[in-house]
This record gives sequence, C-alpha cells and structure tokens, in this order.
Amino acid sequence: MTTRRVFGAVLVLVAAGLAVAATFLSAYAVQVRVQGRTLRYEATSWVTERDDFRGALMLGPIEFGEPAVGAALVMALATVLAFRMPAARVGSLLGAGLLTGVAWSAVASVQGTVQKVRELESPVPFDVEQGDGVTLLIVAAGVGVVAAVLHQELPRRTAEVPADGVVIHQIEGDESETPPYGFPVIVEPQEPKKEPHEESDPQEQKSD
Amino acid sequence: MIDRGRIAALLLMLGAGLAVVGSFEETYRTIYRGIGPERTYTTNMWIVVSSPPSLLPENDAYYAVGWPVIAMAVLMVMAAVLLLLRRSGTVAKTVALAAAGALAGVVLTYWVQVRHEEEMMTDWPAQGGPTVQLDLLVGMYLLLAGAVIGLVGAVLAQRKQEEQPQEQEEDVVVHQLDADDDTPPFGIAIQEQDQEAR
Repeated sequence: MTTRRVFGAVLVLVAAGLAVAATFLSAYAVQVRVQGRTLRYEATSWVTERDDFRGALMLGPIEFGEPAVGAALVMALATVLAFRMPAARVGSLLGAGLLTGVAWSAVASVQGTVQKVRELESPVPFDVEQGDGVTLLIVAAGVGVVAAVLHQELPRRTAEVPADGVVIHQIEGDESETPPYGFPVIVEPQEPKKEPHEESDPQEQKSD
Repeated sequence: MIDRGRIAALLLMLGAGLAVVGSFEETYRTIYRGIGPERTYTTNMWIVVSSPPSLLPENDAYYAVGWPVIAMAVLMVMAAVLLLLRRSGTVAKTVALAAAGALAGVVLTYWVQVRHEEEMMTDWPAQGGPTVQLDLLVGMYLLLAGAVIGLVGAVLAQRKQEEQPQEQEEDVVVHQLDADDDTPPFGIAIQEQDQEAR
C-alpha cells in the first residue's frame, strides 16, 4: 500500500469521525428577545436540546443523524476492511458519496427551516441561525470525498494503450538514442557491400 | 452479448432518470382531520400544495432537495456516457460511484425525514391535536428505485477493470535479450576466418 493510500485511509477515518461528531452538535437555533428575556429553541440532528417556547413554534429536530452515522460507518468499515481486502476500497468512496448527499440534504432542510421561520409574521423578529453541526458536516463530507479519492487505486499512465493506433514500446533501462548521424564508427568496415544488420532497417521490421 | 460496462452505464442512466422523474412526482401526502375542515398537503421534492388552498396555494417544500437530485443525476449520466465511449475510465468510475452514493444519501435522508415526520404526527392526537394520516406516493418509490438501480450500476462499473488486460495480448511483443550489446551502425566487424570458410 502506497503512502498516498495510507494517508487517504487515515483521512477517511477522520472524516467519518467528524461526521458522527457533527450530528451531536447544534443543527439550527431560533431565538427571540421578549421584554428583556431571551427565549431559545435549539436542536441537534437527534433531539431538541432546548425549547423555551414549549412547542408553540411547532419546531422539531431535522433528522439527518441516522443517515450521517450510516455513511460514516460505511466509510470506516470499508477503510478498515481495505487493509486486508483491497477491493473494499470502493466502499470508502461510496460512503463519502453518501455523506455528501446527506450533508447537502441537511443544508437544504436547515436552510428551508431557517427561511420559513424568518418569514413568520411576528411582532418581534426571530433570530434564526444554522448551527455548527451542519457546518462541520459539510467539512466532513468535503474531507471525506478528497480522502476517498486518495484512497482509490489510480491508474498508471503507461497502462492506457489506444487499441487501434500505433503501439510504441520502449525497452526499459535503454535510454540511449541514436544521434542524427549515427554512432562514430570505431572499426572500419572491411567490405562496404555487406548487408546492414536487420535491426537497423525500419522497412524490414514493418514487413515482419 | 452486452458487456458489463454497457449494462453499468445503462443502469446508471436508468437510475438517474427515475430519480429525476421521482423528484417531480408527488412523494407523500398528509391529511389532517379532527380540527376544522379536512386539510390535505401534497408534497414533491420542490413544492407543497395545500387543499383547500390556503393564502398561498404553493409553498416551498419542507425538505426541498430537488436540486441535489438533479445535480447527482447529471453527474451519473455524464459518467455513464464516458463509460459507453470508453474514455477516462477511472474518472468515469469514480464519478459514477460518488454521484450514485450521493444520490442514495439524498434519497435516504429524505426518506428518514418523512418517516420521522410521520412518527412525530402520531403523537398529536394524544396531545389534543388533529389526527394525521401520511401516505407515501409514487414519487417516493421512484426515488428509492432510482437510488438503488444507480448504486447497482456504479458498483458494476467498478468490476469491469478486471477484463481489460486480456485485450492487449495480440499487440506487438518486444523481447530483449540478456546481452546489452547494441549492433553498431555498420554492423559487427567480421573475422577473416569466416570468409575463408565460404
């Protein structure tokens, strides 16, 4: 396993950890100041952490905890498994993709909720904010995708040969090229009429 | 026989198509009974329509995730086209898997959120609220089918890699002998003994 892939594997695990942590941080919060008092609603992706409105605003947690933990599990399991079974590497990319989808959905849902609460016609303005959990989930998804790509087996450039075109082979270790006017002759030829060697004639090589 | 890469590309396109169609179809309906006249809210991934119409007949959906579905479907189709043209194989496979995964993530989150909404509403009658019935509609099933088919296509696309090396067998094979001596431009000097033998 190359250094790149080990680095990718470690980063995938970090991203999975960040994603799980993000689900336990605040997803969104609604706050209002009435007669000097501050009323606040705050929820993670699992439960309502604080509700001073006692349900009057009909708000609830935006549930992205289960899918996010699911995606993190796929990433982590595939990465650990890939140390023994290289084919499992695709699982880390699949998990990172899942996490990206979950993060995008979470952002869209939270933004939608924030927008709806802001549009409420209320005598006192609501202060609505997107929580740190959503921001961290976006970071985790970004890190996860980059890490998962690093974790994959990238192709060697020499492996791609056009199927019908001219195939050029280079013999390994022989980097010397023939100078434009050939190599200086060390031994004078005794009989100039002798046939040149087969390998030096490109015409004959083609007819083979 | 259709090869595996082509099946993978077709499945990716089918999954993407089903998901896009599903996002515009109705995904679920909630019917509120018990307090005042019966109200119905029908939702797709973009908007929610209420019946009888309230102040605004259409509103943004509560979980408006239509754009992510469209974006991932476009990426899946692009990857499928690259697979069919047999160009940028690794890029196509990587994009296919990541996009199919992301589409599955979006659909999974949507499904979990709708199920959670249903759970939450079942508690309302006990608290003196209305009775709510939530029905899943054809759009939801199309989305789920699209996500699963897309994933199958993306995974199939990964396995095609094993077959490629066999095709190169017929090409020119260059052998190098162990001796590193190159033939000089005018050939190797011939010993006089050989001439006598002729």
